[in-house]
Amino acid sequence: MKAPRVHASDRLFVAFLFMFAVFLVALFVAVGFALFRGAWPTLIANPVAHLAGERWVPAQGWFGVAYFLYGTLISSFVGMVFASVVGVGTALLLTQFAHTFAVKAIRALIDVMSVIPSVVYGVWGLFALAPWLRFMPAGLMAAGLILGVMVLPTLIVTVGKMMDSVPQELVDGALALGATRTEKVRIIILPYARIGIIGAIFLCFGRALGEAVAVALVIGSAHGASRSWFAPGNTLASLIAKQFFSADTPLLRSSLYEVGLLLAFVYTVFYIASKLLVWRVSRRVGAV
Amino acid sequence: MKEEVLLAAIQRRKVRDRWFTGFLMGMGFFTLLPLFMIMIAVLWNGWRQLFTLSVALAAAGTAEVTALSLVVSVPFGVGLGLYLCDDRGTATANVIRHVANFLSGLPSLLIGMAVYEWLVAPMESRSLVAGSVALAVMAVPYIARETENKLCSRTAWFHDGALAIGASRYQAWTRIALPLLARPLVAAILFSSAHMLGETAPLLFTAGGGRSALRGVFAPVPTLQLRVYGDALTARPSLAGQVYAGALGLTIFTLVIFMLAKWIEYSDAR
Repeated sequence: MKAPRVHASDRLFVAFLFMFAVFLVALFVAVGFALFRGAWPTLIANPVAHLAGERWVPAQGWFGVAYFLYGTLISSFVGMVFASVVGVGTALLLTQFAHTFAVKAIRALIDVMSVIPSVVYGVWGLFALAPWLRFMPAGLMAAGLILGVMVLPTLIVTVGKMMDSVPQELVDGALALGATRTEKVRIIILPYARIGIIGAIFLCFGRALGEAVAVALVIGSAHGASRSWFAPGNTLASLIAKQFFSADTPLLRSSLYEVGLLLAFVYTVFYIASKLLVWRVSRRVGAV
Repeated sequence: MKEEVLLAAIQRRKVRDRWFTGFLMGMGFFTLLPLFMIMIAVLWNGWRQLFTLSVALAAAGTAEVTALSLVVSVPFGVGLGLYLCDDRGTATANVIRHVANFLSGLPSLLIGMAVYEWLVAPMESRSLVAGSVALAVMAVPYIARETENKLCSRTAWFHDGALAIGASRYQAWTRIALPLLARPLVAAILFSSAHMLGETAPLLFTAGGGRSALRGVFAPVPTLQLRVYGDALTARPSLAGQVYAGALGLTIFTLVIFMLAKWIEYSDAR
């Protein structure tokens, strides 16, 4: 949609709009730079050795984050297993099975779910869900479940889009040959949208990793005591949320910034993975 | 005989179809179950202490932080959305879109930490301004994406038509596209406010707390999000009522804005 620049003012207007793009890049650089600046004192010393190890005892100079990385990945993994099964099922229901009215009603409620504040999910998990699930006290498992519930709306919408991108000719062909709706899903929809669905799950994994507040509320507190999924733990994000403001030594604060950088790195890995997967799908859809 | 076998096979497939449909309905039920449980829990436990001074003060603080952040994020977000749509298809615009997507998914906690480094540490105090900036950083990519989607999908023809009969780009956007989009844009901005209200992490290190009312933009401000989080973190059952009241206030606040946005969107679509 490149219009010929017949007006002199267009040049000015385009430059004006481009300023916003420059501003966004500046914002991005500023956020990254601030995180690096915060972590600088420990980064220049020995960044890798500083965070290596399993024990986090700031008073004694131990800043091992292995356990928190483990907690982050496990809690997000639990959440994504739950969210994938329920979310893909709901997306199938919405795109292939339900009647128009039901689809509208469920979509509206899912929209509502997506704007419920994260801290409200956390409060619900802490006061209502945890006592109810007595066999499952605060810990990685509870945090994972909350994360799963929180990413569900995003997952359903993204996965639903992938299912909608399946060419209608294929679906019509299957139906014309007498496939039931279940067979249509199994033979056409899922194989076709598979990679896109996996990409959407990766994207939500990246979102779940960084959720701090709700996780901090339900995960209890522990700094590497137990590997159990049912014992109190911590994630990278919940560790920062709990300790950052009360961090009284420059060393602890810059260590927490370094933990933040690690979190940003893990997020970036999942972000790129999801984009590559979705890109592959969109290229194929474009070719069909 | 052969017909019976065939009929039985068809019957089996139909039964399997019914089972699978039931399974998917179960999944839909599981999706919505938490929503209903949360609503009931928050309403049931929170309404008694909802109308107290501290909830009202915190709600006022939340409104201030959100409103101030919109002052910054709306012009920049809409401008960026215009750029993305105007330059659509070019490599630069694609890079910029990726940066925006990346930023909008970045753990919001990290944005709070960055704003802490830039504003809170030099000023030696958490403040209303710092909280607003943190929220604005989150909102800009979100508003930009919404603006771009609305602009490019709904008014492209009108916009191209204006260009075709000799309008300048400036005229095509400001006289044709934006007036057509005034309502959807307001809806998009309200949606993004609702999403901002849902974020606690960026306020954690920036907006501060305390229980007093507004003392100026450079002083800490109490917000519902932080109050609920702080009280809940103590995990004392005696505070549960208070926590739920704050959570109820925040939920109502968010849902009112969300409903308003939905209503505007709906009335525009008709």
